[in-house]
Amino acid sequence: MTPLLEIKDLHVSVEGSEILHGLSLTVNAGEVHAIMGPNGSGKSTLTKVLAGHEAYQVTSGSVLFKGKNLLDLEPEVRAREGLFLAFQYPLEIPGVSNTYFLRAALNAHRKHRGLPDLEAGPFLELVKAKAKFVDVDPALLNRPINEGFSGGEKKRNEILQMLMLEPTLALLDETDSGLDIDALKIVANGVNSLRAKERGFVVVTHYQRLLDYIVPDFVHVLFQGKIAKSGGKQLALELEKKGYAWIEEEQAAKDPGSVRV
Amino acid sequence: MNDTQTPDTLLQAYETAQAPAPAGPAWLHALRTQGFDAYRESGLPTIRNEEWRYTSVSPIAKISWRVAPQEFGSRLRPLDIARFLPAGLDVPRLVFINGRLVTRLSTQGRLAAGLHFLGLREALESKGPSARVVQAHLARHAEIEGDAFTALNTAFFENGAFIHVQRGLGFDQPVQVLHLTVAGDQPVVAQPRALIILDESSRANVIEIFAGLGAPARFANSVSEMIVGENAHLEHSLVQFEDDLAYHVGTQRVRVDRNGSLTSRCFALGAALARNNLHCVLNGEGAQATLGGLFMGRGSQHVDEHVHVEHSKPHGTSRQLYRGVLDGASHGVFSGKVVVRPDAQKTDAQQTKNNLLLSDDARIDTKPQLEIYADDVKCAHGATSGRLNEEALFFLRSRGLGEREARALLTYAFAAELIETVKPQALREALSGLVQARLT
Repeated sequence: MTPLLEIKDLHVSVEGSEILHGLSLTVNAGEVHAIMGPNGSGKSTLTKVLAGHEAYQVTSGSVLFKGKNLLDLEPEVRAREGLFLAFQYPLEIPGVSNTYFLRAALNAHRKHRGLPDLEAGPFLELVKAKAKFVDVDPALLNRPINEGFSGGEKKRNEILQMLMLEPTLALLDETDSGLDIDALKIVANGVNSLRAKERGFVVVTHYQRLLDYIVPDFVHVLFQGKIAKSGGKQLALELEKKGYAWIEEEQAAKDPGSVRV
Repeated sequence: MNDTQTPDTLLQAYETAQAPAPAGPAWLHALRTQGFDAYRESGLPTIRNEEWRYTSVSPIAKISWRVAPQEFGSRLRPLDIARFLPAGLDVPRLVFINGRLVTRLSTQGRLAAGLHFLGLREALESKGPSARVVQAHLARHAEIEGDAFTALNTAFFENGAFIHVQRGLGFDQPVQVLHLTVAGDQPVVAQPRALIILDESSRANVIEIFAGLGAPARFANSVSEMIVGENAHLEHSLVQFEDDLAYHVGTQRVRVDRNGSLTSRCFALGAALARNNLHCVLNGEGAQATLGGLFMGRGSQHVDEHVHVEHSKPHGTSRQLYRGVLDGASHGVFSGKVVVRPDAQKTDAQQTKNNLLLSDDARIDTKPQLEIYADDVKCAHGATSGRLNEEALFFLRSRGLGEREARALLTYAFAAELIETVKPQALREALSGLVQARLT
């Protein structure tokens, strides 16, 4: 069975500095992979480069999505092929209403799959139902995207978009940061509702807490641009107990010259 | 001083006109002569004139203009002009072709008592109260001296729209004026005109639309004078959606009296060369002006917006929001001038200018000017100029929207703020359609 995502020895630079130094990762359909790591380890870089952000240059390595070269595709094509990125810092987009944008996005996906546009009526029904699920007030949907939203509301809006677009591979970039426990549970609920054997998730998080609610199948620790350690869900607990210094020491022991201070 | 070696092409047009327009009553004839003399003395402005520093009118000067034959008006049928009017807006309208009123295409309907909406010439010929109002105000407000285009228009305009609302009466339903410049096979010049008078405590909504058809070139030089009386409110929209064969100069001179308010929006959406001059004087205590404009340029278009707001009495409030969207190799110019006279204490003036450059070759020149002679005032000014937000673009694309669609959506969002407060809804929808069409 072809893996959903196959990253092989990926090197990525931003403004001339290399952030990812040969990252490799395989995600199969039905799996939830958590990626943890200290600040600056390259977690956001990974999700952004997979989504196709122009600021990130791939200098070597390969990425296959559903067996196809992902790096050749424009961001919108990656999205229509089933890739979704929940942003760490969702933007406010003045003048573009949530509903208008959601409908345009959904219809772009549908068109790609050879389906006709969803009519206004059924679309609104769908949006209201999904909004309710993530506790987003439907009245806010006519407002510009994220305008006046609190941090928690912005994150829930990301999940709403994910529920509307039903991606095949969802990348969540620190979706939990800045959330209180109630918002966290709502976000986790949304994600868990989409777990399915044909779907994969890469959950990037700095804190272990989210993983109590979105229980991963695999945990990877990203350290200085590479995956330094992989394991099951217990790894996250171990990491929380011992801290990132533990990883640093392990790396230093393995390869003394490699750890940068 | 006009170069006597090269005849002025605009004066030539009128000298060779088939049937020169009747001058009208003696007082109007005197004003026309004043305009003619002033124009002949100054000629068209050059870029050495401070107010025209960034805008050369030599493309206009070079064309051999003609005054259109009278029968151009009679050739058009209602169906021909439908596309220049907002759909579904069933309100009184006056249609002018090349500055001449075409009653067959106009619908004054049954106007409510106290609302006068007719041609200037018709108002003068009525010899009734309207004639007196016209005489009191026509060409008394827009500056003839020192403004070549106003001088030219005053000398040669044939007719125009007259709107007068009597004291205490309020009309939310708008009236519409459509000015079409129509060319046959020669370049055509027209002088649209308007006079809008709102008496004390009255209310009105006036829509002025400028467009054209026909080749090879068209030039509309329009002057609108507006008086917003004490405690009166004028809602005004000006929509210019010409094409690359057109040149357009528009001048609006407005006076707002004590406790009066003006909300005026100007949309400059086309023309090879367009220049709009809005001069608004807040002439009474507590007068207010909310002014907005959207100008769009593409290809090699040149669009210039000059706004001059004068606070001459205390407690006046002015708000300006102007946005430019420039694509291709177009050139935008914006000058926002606020003058606060010594008596105008407690003035509250705000100007915001935002420009969106969609391409590497698009250019914008802005000239903010603040002249403050009173000491207890609040004057704020903000300006931004830049490209589309790359992060916003990436976000939309990351959700599946194509690059072009994402750019158009963000650009429309930038322009939308100017449209959303326009009344009535039919005009909002028409503007929305016009702007979107220019983005694809």
